[in-house]
Amino acid sequence: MLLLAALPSFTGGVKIAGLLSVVCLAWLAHLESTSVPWFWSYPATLLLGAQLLIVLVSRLEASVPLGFEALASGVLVYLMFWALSVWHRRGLQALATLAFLLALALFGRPTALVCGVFLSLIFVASSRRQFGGYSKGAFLIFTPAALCFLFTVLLRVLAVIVIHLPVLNLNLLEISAWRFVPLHGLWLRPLLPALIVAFGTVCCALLEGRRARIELVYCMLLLFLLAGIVLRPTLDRAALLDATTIAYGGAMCLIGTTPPRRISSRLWLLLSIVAALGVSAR
Amino acid sequence: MMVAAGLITREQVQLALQKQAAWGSKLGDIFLAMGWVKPLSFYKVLASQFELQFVNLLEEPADELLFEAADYKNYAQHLYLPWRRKDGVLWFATSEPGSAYLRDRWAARRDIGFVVTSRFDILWELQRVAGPEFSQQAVYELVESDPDHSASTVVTEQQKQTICILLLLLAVSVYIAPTATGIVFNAALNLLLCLGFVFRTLLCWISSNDDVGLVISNRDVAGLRESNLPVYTVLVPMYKEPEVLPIMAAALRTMDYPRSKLDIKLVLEENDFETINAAKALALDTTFEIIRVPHSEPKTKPKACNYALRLARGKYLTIYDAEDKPDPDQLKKAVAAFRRWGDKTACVQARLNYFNAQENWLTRMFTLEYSLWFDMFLPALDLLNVPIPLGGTSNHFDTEKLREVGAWDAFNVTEDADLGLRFAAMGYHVGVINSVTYEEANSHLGNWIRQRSRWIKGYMQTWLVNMRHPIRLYRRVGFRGFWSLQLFVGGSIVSGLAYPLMLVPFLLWVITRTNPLHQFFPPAVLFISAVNLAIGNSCLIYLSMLAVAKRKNYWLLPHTITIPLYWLLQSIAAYKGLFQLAVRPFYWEKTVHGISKYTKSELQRARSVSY
Repeated sequence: MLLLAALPSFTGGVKIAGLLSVVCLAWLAHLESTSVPWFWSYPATLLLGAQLLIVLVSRLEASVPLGFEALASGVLVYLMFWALSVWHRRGLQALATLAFLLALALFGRPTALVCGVFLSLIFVASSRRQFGGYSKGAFLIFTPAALCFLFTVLLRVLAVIVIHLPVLNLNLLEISAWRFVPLHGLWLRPLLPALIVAFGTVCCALLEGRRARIELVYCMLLLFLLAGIVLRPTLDRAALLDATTIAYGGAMCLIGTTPPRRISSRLWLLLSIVAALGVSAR
Repeated sequence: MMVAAGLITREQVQLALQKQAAWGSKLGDIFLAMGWVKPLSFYKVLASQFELQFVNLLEEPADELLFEAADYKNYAQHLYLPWRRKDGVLWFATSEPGSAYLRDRWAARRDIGFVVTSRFDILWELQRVAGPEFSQQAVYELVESDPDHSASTVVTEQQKQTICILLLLLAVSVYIAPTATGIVFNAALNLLLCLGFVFRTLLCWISSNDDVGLVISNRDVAGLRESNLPVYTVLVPMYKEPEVLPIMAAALRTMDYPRSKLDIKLVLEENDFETINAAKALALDTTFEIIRVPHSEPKTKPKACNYALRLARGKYLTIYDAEDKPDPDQLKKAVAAFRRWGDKTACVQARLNYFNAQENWLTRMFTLEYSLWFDMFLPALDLLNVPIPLGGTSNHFDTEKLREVGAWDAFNVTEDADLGLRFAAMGYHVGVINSVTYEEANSHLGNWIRQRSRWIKGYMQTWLVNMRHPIRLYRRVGFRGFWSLQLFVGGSIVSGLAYPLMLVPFLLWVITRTNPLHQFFPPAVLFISAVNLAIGNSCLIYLSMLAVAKRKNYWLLPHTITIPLYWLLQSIAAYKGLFQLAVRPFYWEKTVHGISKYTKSELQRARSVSY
């Protein structure tokens, strides 16, 4: 009841919760497909879903459109991480997935787009041999987004139709005025649960004895996001929302694609999620 | 006996014995296939070995009154025919005097005798006697046995009525509410195009997985025992293409398949003397047979193939065009695929690509298109288990199943695509294998338009044939099959026709800013058309890039940007095809081969191949 009282509006909260349920069910299906035992996957899904809801509607007081966009950013990054994690097995399909997602991200929040570009660059660097060098890989990854951008801008210039391109709304002058702003608890508090889950996920990979390359990429992305938030001259609630869902999205994808197999790592991960829930509920 | 007669050497016998152990063929077939002995001499020795009389059917032709129409297929398959009746004994001429089939069939008869003749004489005589009937069947068998699947009637009465009703409704709605009708029409067209984009993107996404389509590995091929391989019929229909004959002959001679088990038939029109003479001049070995198709209308490739099918002996059968260069292990891969996929598989399609991609812009675009079609679309359709429109060549059939469905429709100008869909409608599976056949891409615009307009006309015929009974089709191929057919075959036709319809008003608007069509683009429709224009076109360009990357032809990547111009050419061909469908539906626009500047080098390479 306390949670419901904190919602921006009851119907808005229900809408966000509804969409979140769909996302969580999809994640559960992903987990089930990797043969994770139900007594681990069900509580993990429930706990993660609950804290996402709390963070979105209570801590960040997301409006419905902002909440939807943030969730979309999280899902985009989730799928991008999936593409990164399977490229050794799926090769061109992983590249195509990333390229299509990047083109989609063009029409979403700038934070997701920037993360997409970041992950694509890492993909290009790591798959340069398979695709015959940096330039061919980059050409293959960035072409759909570049073409969509060009066509859309062309339509706008010709005054045929204005398709919303958030990236065009970025104020470059504002970007040039970016400066270091000391960390502030206000920004970190909503992000903290996500960071705990992220930390738990990375440690889980290490406990499993994996080489944790994709986890390393995830850490780099988090640092990149944090740097972006810290350097912003003004507090941008939407960017904070995006960063939170992106951190969750990345962590959930890593758990889904390389689920914990050992009892110790499963327990560790579950503990991290519970701890994050505790922090977010405070 | 043959060594004693001086026809072959002892070394050749040793070599033949080794090949016999590997191939599991008769020694005689190996001698003939290797070209070590002339057929006439061989069959004379064979006759004396069996203590039978040898007859030359060209000098002593068979009595055609003794031929039984019901046995034509057996004559062709078991290489015998009734020769003459003398003193109450019916004499059969055969090139296989030791055949178990003949022994079993006539064992109880005392009034039966055998003479030996050459295999070529039997085929010649069979064509002389049964040729007119074969020709008639080649054209009309499907029309008579399954008229619903034949394109001999372009539009059925029911379809005519449906079209008339729709046109009437359209006229009434245009009269009552012209703007609303225009908006609905525009929205429907845009939605259809949008769905087409999405479907094609999905297919490409599926196929971009490295594992899709990689069905038969080199290990699978190496694991095949050549002695267990069946006879394979290869049909090469040609018409006035003498210049590329050596390329095809060289490619077939280098096939990795026991030569004694190859039944290669050059299918030529009887009045195409230049190709017949060129084939004779090449002095092809005895695995090659020349089939002369009697003149009749419609003069189409499917008719020629149907004719040759009646003389085919192989368990499996494939078709190559005159200028094709298949991968040497393609036949083995096809056999492995048939064995792996089981009885429900009627056909496997090899992938097609071009050897002259670098020649000019048109050949580059054609290569992009084929890479997209055969490396991305068809493997995905196969994976989704939906109907696959076959490509024009390198389709490998289970011969019995091909006969069962009525073979090719002589009235359909894309008989291959039609056959693929008919197999699906009959409950058979059509698969795609990871073997490539290289062809000559059309390098001349006029020639390209002719070929493309025929293809699009054929697609229209195929769609109309399949949509005669849409509910029945839906029940047979299911939801996925039905809608993939609409989006893939129907979508190809609509996109070709709609492209200029969408582009011209847009350009008019951009240039003049006074578009009278503005009223037909309310915000929602304008949004969908803008999405089609911006995202759809970007996606389609990108799909070609993916196809290029899959084949690792990276040099083609920058050229993909110019592909919208190629779509414009396709639209020209689509309108020509539509016009021809109305006025000359069965006319076969001949594609001229051998005009590429790469043909010379291919010919030189073909001539330098030793066997």
